[in-house]
Amino acid sequence: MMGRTTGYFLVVGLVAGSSAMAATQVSGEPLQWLKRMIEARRTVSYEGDFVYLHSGQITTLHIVRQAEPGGDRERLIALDGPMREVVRDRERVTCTLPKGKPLVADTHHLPDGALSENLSQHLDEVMAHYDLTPNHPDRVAGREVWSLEIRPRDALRYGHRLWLDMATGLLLKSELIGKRGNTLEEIMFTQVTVLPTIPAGHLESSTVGLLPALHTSVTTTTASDEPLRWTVERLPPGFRLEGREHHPLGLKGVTPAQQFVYSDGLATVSVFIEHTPADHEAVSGPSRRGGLNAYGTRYKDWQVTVVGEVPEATVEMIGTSLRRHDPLEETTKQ
Amino acid sequence: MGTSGNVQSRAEEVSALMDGEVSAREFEHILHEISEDPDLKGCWTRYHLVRDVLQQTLPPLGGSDLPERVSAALKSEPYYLLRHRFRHLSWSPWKRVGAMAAAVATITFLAVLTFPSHQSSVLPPQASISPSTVIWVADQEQRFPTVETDDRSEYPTHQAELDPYLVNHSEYLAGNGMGNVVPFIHVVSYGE
Repeated sequence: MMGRTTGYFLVVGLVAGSSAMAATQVSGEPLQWLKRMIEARRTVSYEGDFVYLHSGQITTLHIVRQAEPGGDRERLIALDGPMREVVRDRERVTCTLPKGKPLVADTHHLPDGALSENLSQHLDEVMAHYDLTPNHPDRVAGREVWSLEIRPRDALRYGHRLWLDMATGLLLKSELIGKRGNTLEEIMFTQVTVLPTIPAGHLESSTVGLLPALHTSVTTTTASDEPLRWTVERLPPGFRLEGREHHPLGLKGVTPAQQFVYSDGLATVSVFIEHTPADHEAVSGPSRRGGLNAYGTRYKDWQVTVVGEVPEATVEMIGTSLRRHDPLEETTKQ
Repeated sequence: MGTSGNVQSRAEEVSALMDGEVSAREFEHILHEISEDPDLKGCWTRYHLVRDVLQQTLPPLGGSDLPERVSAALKSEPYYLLRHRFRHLSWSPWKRVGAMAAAVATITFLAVLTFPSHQSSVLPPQASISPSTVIWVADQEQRFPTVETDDRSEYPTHQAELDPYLVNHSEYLAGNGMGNVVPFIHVVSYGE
């Protein structure tokens, strides 16, 4: 898969290079700021505290992020409430969650930053579905920032308001905007320190040996070589298949699962498909966490779970329009 | 989101407005909605009334039906919104239960003594008071940690079931530089 993906990026990147440049000239600075933000996501190491607001609730968190060639390392820890922490590097993800069940989080095949690089090259295509407007200079976490607003052109995706650090391009504040202009969730740094190298130990889990709820998984995902039999018949305009993974041990260590990732460049949706019995305990119908919506449904003998930072209508539309094309079954019908 | 989700979402906006947790733009938007929507207007009024009862700053606007309306206001609020509204008080659950029960009992008593006949436009007279009504509110407070809710938006009954999907979705975003600045935010910010 890596080979195909790299080839795709190279070919499309060359073709899109000139058009992206033209779009940049037309759109002016906001597009450049967005590219700078994407670049900072891949290259800037930092440590800081931020607040996450959703539905009137506030959570305070600490983040440490080391950007490295070949894969970043990150530690995210909640500073209030029960102990919750995620530590990830290029090989494993370690989650500490209260009352959690064992989780299997797979690492993925794409070279780190490949899709963000793709996004940077294809911003003009992405912006066919959004309007990008500059706002005004501001201050966040004591640093000078530029603010941008990204408005979707349909109701199938969310909008964003972004505040970018003038010095580094880091995203220091973001708001996810619903279709009525309401803020669905907000992330805002209260302090951030940009560092060339994160001090040793800052990326280590603070719960090793302390909490029994530590769930570590080190499985290797294999890119699916099965012919693509699943299709989503109703994808929002601009969304396309960006990745496809096979989880041989399943997401809960029980049933193998497939994951299809669709994106329009900004919004991303994962479709998980598991072959499970009908009485299998599973997500059913819609649910939401902040700006992330999920929708679970059954398709024949499969459990289908769709999650993504898109409106509920979008995950439901994708989940209910998933179809499997079985050559044997089609031959029988004929 | 279904109807119940919409109602809760909009009620939470009102809640955020009262807590001063909205931007200037949202402030105008929500105020406009409150002025247009009778349900939201009622929600706004109930929140103020409940807050005033708890803070013992209820203005002298009551009438003979005030206890009924206080009780109705409390009863008509889903318990998760009540929890939401008063989580900043950082009391232990038992103290909170006691405070709410005492506040309702006090205002009931004072209202009967002080406002024998005046009518108020604060809330519509829509429910009759009984001891069990007040206890219902207290019971809900006591059961906060365990009571299931039909609000799938923020307290889905299958929340734990979502974790494996969110972790793998987030890992994909993080590993590929996609998504927001903190891909695992939806994993770490929940599970309280």
